[in-house]
Amino acid sequence: MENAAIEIKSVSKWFGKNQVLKKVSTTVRHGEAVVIIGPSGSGKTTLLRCVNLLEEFQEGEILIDGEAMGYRIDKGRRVRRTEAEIARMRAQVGMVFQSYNLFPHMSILKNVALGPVKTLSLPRAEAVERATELLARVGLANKAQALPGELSGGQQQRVAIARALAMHPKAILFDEVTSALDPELVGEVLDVMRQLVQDGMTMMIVTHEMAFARAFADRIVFMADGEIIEQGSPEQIFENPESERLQAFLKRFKQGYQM
Amino acid sequence: MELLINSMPLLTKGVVTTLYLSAASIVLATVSGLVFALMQLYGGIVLRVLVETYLYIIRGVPLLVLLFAMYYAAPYAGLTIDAFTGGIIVIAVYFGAFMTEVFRGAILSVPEGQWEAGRAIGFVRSKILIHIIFQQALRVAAPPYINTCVAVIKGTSLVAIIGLADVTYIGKQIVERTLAPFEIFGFVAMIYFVICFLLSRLGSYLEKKFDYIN
Amino acid sequence: MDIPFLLRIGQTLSEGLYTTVLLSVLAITLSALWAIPLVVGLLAPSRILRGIVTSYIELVRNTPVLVQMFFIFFGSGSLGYPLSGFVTGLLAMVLQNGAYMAEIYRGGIQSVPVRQTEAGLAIGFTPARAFRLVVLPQALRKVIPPLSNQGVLIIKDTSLVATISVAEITFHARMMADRTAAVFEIFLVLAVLYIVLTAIFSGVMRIVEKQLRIR
Repeated sequence: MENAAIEIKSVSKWFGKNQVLKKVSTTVRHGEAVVIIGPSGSGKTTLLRCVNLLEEFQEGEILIDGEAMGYRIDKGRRVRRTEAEIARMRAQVGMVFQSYNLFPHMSILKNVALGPVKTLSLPRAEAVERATELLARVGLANKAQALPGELSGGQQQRVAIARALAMHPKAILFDEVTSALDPELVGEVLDVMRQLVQDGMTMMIVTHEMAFARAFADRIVFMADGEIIEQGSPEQIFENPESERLQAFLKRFKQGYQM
Repeated sequence: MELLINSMPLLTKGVVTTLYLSAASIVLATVSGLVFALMQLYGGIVLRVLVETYLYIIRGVPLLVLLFAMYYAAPYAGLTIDAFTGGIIVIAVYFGAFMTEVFRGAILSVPEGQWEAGRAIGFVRSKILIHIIFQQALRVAAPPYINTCVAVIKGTSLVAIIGLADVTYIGKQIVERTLAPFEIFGFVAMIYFVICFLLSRLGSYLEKKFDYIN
Repeated sequence: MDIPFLLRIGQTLSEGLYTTVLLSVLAITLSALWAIPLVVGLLAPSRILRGIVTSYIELVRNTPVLVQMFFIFFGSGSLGYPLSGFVTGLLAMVLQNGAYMAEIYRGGIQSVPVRQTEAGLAIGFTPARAFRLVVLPQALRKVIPPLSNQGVLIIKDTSLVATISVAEITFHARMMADRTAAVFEIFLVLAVLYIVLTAIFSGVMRIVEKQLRIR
């Protein structure tokens, strides 16, 4: 498909006997911000992690900017691509993790500059310049030499976003990036993400933050039990949910905790 | 006391031998421990089984038995090896197993998320190990590594039994001649104590220096 | 691989097996017992007591068992009360391993979170009872693996008493090796004997660990 940053075609995954993704298909176009919502165990995080092959998938295809990720079809047989090819493609898709996963033994500046230097082979000075710029963009320019352990969760997550941006990725994957944060720190991270959406970054976001999804997603995908149940614009999903599953899910969110 | 002073030249030679044996064995054991740990973790099934067999054997056999085996069997096997080099090799092979377990444990202790973050910026496994995992594993490995080094130093005392002139052997020779065990062995014990104790202190100092979690 | 030959070697070496096993069992048991007053000293409120025990432990941990054995062996002789090789070996090993086991006990006890003790106090236990009924059982489970490890080290260390003429299996092996040319076979069998002994011991400890887990 033209203009597709990420194409997920009929992807299925099993954990042993348990099928966690059932022929899932969807597309993320360049510049689109797609938010995936759904109950826990729906497979949304697993799907996200398949896109940069942190999880393997047994059937189907995932294309990144038209190129097949992880596996090629060679004479009708599924062949795994080389580790070097997979690494190269991973560099094209950034990821921000729920537990940030910053590298504790280096400054946040180095955290952000490491990828560009070692993977993109950027000269050190240029990488540092890029990193400084990005840290300023996420509001942490004055802490460039700090170690991750010295920062709050919200600050660390913003560094993680800068680290993903530093690779000039075609798209960024966000895996429940605010779920591990104290409530008062969530806003600063969502602010950065909002800015990215408005700057036109291609994003695939798994989250529970419904207000954010409603306000800033271009498209929302609702998953349950390993399948995409419904997808559409925020208005369609939130105002006119068609499927019963989605209606039940949204009801629970409106009412808060219930048995 | 006079005896001790008179014996100093001999004992000093013994101390030098002990230090040399220890240093050489530690270096050898560290290198092989690192290699075997990587083999065990990333080398595929054949290498893994080989390393684990080696670890199992060393865990069950006393160092003294290995030293004897080398001492008695080497001439028959056609290996003209002097007891000194042979001793170093045996001690290094023995403690190399412990080093392997230290390094393997340290690498495995680094959270999986670090590997994933490395993959996400396009690193292959070796790059992740070198730039991200290694320093974090170092921090975890430092205490047990130092402990194993102390064990190596103490282990070198066993070469006295196969006639190598380390400080324990020299001490025993002197005591058998002069029957002054408390003075001489007291001194020998003190030497080991000073070396090992200083090494442990160095270890604690380095540990604090590498503490990023602050 | 001449199996009957190896078995005959095994038979000869086994003349020392009783001594090896006896020494091992005694060393392990007595070390485990000696470690109890030591750990009490380690955790005592009195700073002086803690200092004394810590110094003792540091002293034994940083000197080789062999040197300690020679010290006691030759030392007792020069004092006019020569201890047998067996007793010397046992004494040295208990002094060493008691110290290591005390540290293991301490690690186990301190690894039980303070919350547990607090929970015990909250339901009306005295500190002593809280320790006995809440902390100790949990600590016990935690220390079995490292203790098992230490036991294996003790079994291997019994080989050292061959140097002070105790007729255990390594001693017999050396005697044979001085007389025959089949040295490779002799030490192979000796190594296998030790592997079997340590494997049996580890196996027993694993069963003990499982039994405690069911509770």
